[in-house]
Amino acid sequence: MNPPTAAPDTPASPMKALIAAYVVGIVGMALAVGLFWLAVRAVQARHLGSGWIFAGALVYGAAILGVTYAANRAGRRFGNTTPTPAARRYRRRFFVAMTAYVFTLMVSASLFAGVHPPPWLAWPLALAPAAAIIATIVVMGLYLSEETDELERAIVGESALWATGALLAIATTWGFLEQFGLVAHVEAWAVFPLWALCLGPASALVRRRYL
Amino acid sequence: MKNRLKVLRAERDWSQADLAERLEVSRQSVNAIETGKYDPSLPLAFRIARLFDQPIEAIFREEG
Repeated sequence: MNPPTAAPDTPASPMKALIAAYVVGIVGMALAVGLFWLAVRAVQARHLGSGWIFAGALVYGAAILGVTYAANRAGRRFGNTTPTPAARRYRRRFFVAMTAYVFTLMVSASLFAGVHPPPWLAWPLALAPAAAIIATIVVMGLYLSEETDELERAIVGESALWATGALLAIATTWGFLEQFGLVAHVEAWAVFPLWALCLGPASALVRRRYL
Repeated sequence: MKNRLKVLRAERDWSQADLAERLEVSRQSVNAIETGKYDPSLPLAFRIARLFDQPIEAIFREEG
């Protein structure tokens, strides 16, 4: 009699997931930005009103969300990982917060571009995208507290620490280069997208150690 | 840390996914524990021991 053998299991591939997500993300973003640029030129050439700029911005926001979703799907498919219930909840909440971010940003940016809102409106308009980003950070915190799979929690926690370390190193280096007039100024809101960009490779490298 | 998880699983003809479901963890966790890349927490080690009805030290042992 043959010795018992367990059913085969396909290993997860974090590097494939990262490459797939980045390829879809970069190509999608390039297409979205290219279309947006063409639309802006068309609006400028025809001297159309701020209503058109606003509508274009909303379409652009929807395109960016679509690309983010597609990149996420591609990553999951090629990574061959099974999402935990907490991860599914996280993705749902993340997309709600991201949608809020993209749309508050589009509304605020297009209103500031068209008219100069009075101070009572300017402050809430300027703070609305920040509130959405804070909500995204809270969503990540909730995920870490709700994840029952201890390996997943360890991987995400460790990846977040690596991403934070990379962000601190990049921001400090850039800050000094900027201080001495060697590079251009970068707005402070760029830290969160940069942290998220660092999180992708950090997560793939940490996952490779465990999977 | 070395362990006998793969053997115990094979004896029962369970896939990694089957064991993961019984332990309420992801299949990736089972794989990482089996291959010695991740050491489970004490509560999870106890759950594994209870599932296979063996003491922890019969399943896990220190390397070297």
